[in-house]
Parts: sequence; structure tokens; C-alpha cells
Amino acid sequence: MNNKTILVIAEYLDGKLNPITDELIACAIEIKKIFDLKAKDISEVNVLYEIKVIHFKGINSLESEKYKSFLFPIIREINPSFILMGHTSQGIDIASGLAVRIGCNCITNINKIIYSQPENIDGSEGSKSNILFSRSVFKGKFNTIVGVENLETIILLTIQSGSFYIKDCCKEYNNIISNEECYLSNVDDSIISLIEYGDIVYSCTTNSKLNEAKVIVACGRGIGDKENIEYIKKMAACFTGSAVAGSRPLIDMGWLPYEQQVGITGAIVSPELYLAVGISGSSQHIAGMKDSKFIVSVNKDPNAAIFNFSDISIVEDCLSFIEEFIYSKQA
Amino acid sequence: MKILVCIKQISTSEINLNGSGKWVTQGSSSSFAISRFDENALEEAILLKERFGMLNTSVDVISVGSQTAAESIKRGMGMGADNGIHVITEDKGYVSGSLTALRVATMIKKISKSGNTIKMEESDYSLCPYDLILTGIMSEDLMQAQVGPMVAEHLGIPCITSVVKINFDDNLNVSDNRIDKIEVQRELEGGIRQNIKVKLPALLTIQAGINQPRYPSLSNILRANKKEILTYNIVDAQSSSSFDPLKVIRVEYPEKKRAGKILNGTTKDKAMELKNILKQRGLLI
Ligand SMILES: Cc1cc2nc3c(=O)[nH]c(=O)nc-3n(C[C@H](O)[C@H](O)[C@H](O)COP(=O)(O)OP(=O)(O)OC[C@H]3O[C@@H](n4cnc5c(N)ncnc54)[C@H](O)[C@@H]3O)c2cc1C
Repeated sequence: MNNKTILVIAEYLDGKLNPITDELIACAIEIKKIFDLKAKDISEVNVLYEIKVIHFKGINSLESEKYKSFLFPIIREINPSFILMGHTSQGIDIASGLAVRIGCNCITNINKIIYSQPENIDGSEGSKSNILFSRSVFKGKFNTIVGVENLETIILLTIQSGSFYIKDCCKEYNNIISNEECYLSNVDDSIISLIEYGDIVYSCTTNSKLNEAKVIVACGRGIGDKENIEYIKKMAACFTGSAVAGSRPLIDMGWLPYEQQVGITGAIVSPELYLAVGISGSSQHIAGMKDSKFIVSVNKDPNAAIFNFSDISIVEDCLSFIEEFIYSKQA
Repeated sequence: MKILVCIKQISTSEINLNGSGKWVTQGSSSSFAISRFDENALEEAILLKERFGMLNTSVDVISVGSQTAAESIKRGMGMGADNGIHVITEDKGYVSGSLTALRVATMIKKISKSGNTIKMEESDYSLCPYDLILTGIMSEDLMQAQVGPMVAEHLGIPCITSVVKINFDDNLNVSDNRIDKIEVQRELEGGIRQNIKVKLPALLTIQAGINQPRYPSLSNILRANKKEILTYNIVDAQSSSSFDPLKVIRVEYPEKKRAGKILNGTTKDKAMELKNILKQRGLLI
């Protein structure tokens, strides 16, 4: 029996396990299923994929250079087929550099694992393996489906949060997942001495206003000008218990204060109604509003990603639409 | 202080699936821009140059891309960069971060700097000719967030991603006419930030919000137009696109997570219909 490993790097912050870790395990299970299927297909049962989750102890995972130097020999020793990390601020800081150090393939921000018959892929250019990876491009408007030439080399994947879920059916896999704790030993690497990791600053004053709002009218770069926030305010005034929010670029440009930013680096909200105006729907924004009860979007691009997450899609110039909406409400 | 900024040219025209569904087509009126996060990186470099002029600070920009990328390099010089470096490629479509990073790093190792001028050397240098290398946190189009950290690893220098603040005020350590160490703040999720000190040379990937990129100035554009861009043709290099381990199979629209009922008719019809839907749901009185 030839065993191969799918290695999950558990993510911690302040000693607490980050929820992305469950998603990494769910993704690992999907990868395993594909190879189990393949084994069935060609009655090749002598390769068994096992899932190993490693939890690093005695090291602050925010100390990325140290973490990389620590991980490197461990990965060498395990020699996994796949390494899974979160596409989080920690994952981004560690994964790509680590991949170069290992000399392995690196595919970041994966949102889906796809099983494919190799003959579906055109031979010369394509991937000859059964497994393909979907990743979001062009502000979430498309997914590109990518593969690798061969599976001999380790593949390091970072996973977009919100893409994989542990389902009940996965419980059957519990017995094939092993958890392992690793303790920091002395790592010898000159690069570590060049960098000093300091304090963590919690600059976020949790925004009660957005969290309490029943209705959030959120605007993005599509509104064109700072002055047009007035339209958004007027729109919000049509609803009781409403608040105005924005996508990150508006906060970056100083059009709205940070407390009003929705998304992965801002507030996570779930109001009764989320009205997205001129927002493209990139994953970092979606992460902050996808659990809203009812989502209405206005965008001039009929293929904008935000429409994939909306209950109601309105393809219009946002300012004309708002004007018409306010007018019709008064009528 | 010698600073290098890695910039990527992206298309700003409309993007659609191409006929075969294997890649995308970009609108007929091809228009280009510097990827937003890279523009922030360049602005930050120019701000440093303005503050540390006394340290003989210079800013170079490098871009890997097709012929049209020269336009973005000129724009970067119009913003205030001293020299432009263009690694010319002929790939169309998806290029993995690892290939781009390899190309950037290969080029950096060939460069030697004396004063404000750059030169390409026959053999590779083992030392990084720059004190500080900046990139955007990711490109706006392919969103891989790989090139910066990978370039740093190839050069063997420390890397910090998602930087929202560079601080030279505290513990500024100027020795030998160069800055020894800088202090930065990187951003994590949900408003959390981490303070880090790092010795130079180092590579930082820059997150938006750190500054407001300026427009190119006329005098800089005129100066840039007179100056030649240092070019290097990738065709003769071993890192050509057939080396890309990543193969794009196809491009598709993501699946719908919600119904996304499309409202039809005139703007007025749509406004009326939305009003009615929201009233029915008790969201509008
Ligand atoms: C680490 C990291 C963290 C991030 N965190 C966040 C976050 O917390 N929150 C966040 O929002 N972003 C975040 N981002 C940024 C994110 O990737 C996107 O860049 C951002 O969400 C895009 O904002 P936008 O939709 O307003 O702008 P764009 O993507 O530029 O979209 C503008 C939209 O407006 C439409 N439009 C243009 N004109 C009109 C018109 N006249 N009428 C109607 N529609 C029009 C366009 O079709 C387009 O869809 C983060 C990025 C990174 C790298």
C-alpha cells in the first residue's frame, strides 16, 4: 500500500483555532474523494490518500518568516502530495514564499475542486491529472479552471474562505483524519534575525451602527464621485433603521470612514436588506455581506459578480436608478 | 536608498469570455492602467524619495509584460520614478505568479546600480541591488497575491505582505547614508494590525488605503519620454511560458448562490417593481 498525504495547516490567532481550518479539512476531504473515485475507476487501490492536520504549538503563526523556516523541514519530511492553507492574511504572508522554498506548485485563492476525466482536457497543453482547481479572477466575474502538468510535485493550495463546508456526510471521514501537534524546535535560519515581530493592534471599534441597521445601502466605485454619496444617503433615508456603507476603495479614498466599510477587512453584516449599488462583488466584499437576509444589487454590468449573490438584480446606471426609485417612492 | 517597485499593467476595457471559453477577450477599445495596488506601492516609493532625498533615494519601476506594458512604465516615470525596466514577454492569457516572480527575480539579479543609473550585467549578481522592493498586495485582475513573496524568496530577503503603514520616524537608523531598518504595520482581517520591524533589504507588498496615488506631472512625463526604458527580451531567457507548471483549462462564470431575479423594462418600471417587492416583504413602508 502506497500512502499519500494531504496536509492541512491549522490556522491559529491568539492561540485560538481559526474557523478557516474547518474549511481546509472540508477541501482536503473533497480532494481525497476525487482520488478514491479515480482508484475505483481504474481499480487501482494501492494508493491511499490520508488527511493529516498539523497544529503548531509554541510558535506565533503571525511570525511568518519564523513560521516558514519551521514548516520547511517538517514538510520535507512528510513529503505530502497537497498542502492546504487559508487564503487569509496569514496564508498570504506565508504560502507563496514557502512554495518557492520547497520548489513546489502554488495555486492561491481556490474556491472549488473539480473532478475531471483526463481525456476531457486537450492532451498537449492541458493537465493530465484528474483534479482541477477553480479560482476567482477579474473581481469575481469569472472563475479560471487550472490544472498542473503532473502530480509528482507537491501542490500548495490556499483556500478562499467561505468556499468549503464540512457537511454531515463528511463525518464518515472522521476516522481517516489524523491530528498532530508539532512543537517549535530550534530553527536555524539567518533570515529570522532580520525581522522583529511586534504587537498586535486592535484598531477596529466594532461598528454598532452597521450591526444594528435593519437596512444597509452600500455603495462602491460605480457611484463615480464622492459627491454622489448624497444619492446613497437619500436612498437610505427611504428606509427606517437604515445605514450607509461602502466597499473598501471608498474608504481608502477617504469618501467614507472606516467604520462604514463592509468586507473581510471591515465589518461583517447581515441586515434584513442589503442594497449594493455600483459594487462589483469581489470575494473580499462578499465575505462581509453574504449572510444578509435579502440582497438587491444595482450594477451596469449584467455579468457583475455581485448578481450571483443577489435575490434581485437590477442592470442600470446606479444614479439614474436611485433617482427613479426615490421619485417612485414619493409618488 | 534604492527602491524598486514592481508594477503590472491591466486592461480596463470590458472583459468577456472568448469563443472557445478558454480565456477572455478584452474590449476592442483596449485601454490599460497600472493595477491599483501597484499604484499605491509606487506612490509610497515616491513619497519616500521626497522625504529621503538627502539619502540619494532613487525609485525604479519594473514591469513584466507585452509591448503595451511600456505605456504603464512611462506612466510610472510620469508619477516620479527615475528609471523604467521592461521585461518583454509574448504570453497571452494567464501567467502564474511563480513564472512572473521568477522573471522579475532573474531580471533584478542582472541589474547593477551606480548612483541614479542602472545597467544590465552579463552575469547575475548575487546581492540584491535594491534596499527596498515594493509590490501591490495582489494584481487586480488575476488576484494571486504571489509575486511579491516569491520574488523575496528568490532573492533571499525578508517579506511582509499587506502593509498599510511605513514608519521611518521612530528608531530611524541611518548609517552609511542608508536606512538600516524600517518599521511597518501590516493589516490582518477585521481591523487588526501587526507592528513589524525589518532590516533592509526587504520586500513589502502594499495594501490600498496607505496613500492616494498622484497623477503623472507634465514635467515628469516630458522627462520620461526622453529617457530610455531598459528592456530585456524574455524570448532568450529560459523562463519562457512553456515552463509555466500551471495550465489553464477553461474560464467560466461562477455559479449563482441566489436567484438573482432580473427586473425588466424601463428604469421607471424597475424602480416601481423594486418598490413593490420591498413593500411586500415589509422592508419599505
Ligand atoms: C486583502 C484584501 C482585503 C480586502 N478587503 C476588502 C473589504 O473588506 N471590503 C471590500 O469591499 N473590499 C475589500 N478588498 C478590495 C476588493 O478586492 C475589491 O477591490 C473591492 O471590493 C472593489 O470595490 P468596488 O466593487 O467598489 O469597485 P470595483 O471592483 O471597481 O467595481 C465597481 C463596480 O461598479 C460598476 N459600475 C460602474 N459604473 C457604474 C454605474 N454608472 N452604475 C452602476 N454600476 C456601475 C462596475 O460595473 C463594477 O462592477 C480587499 C482586497 C484585499 C487584497
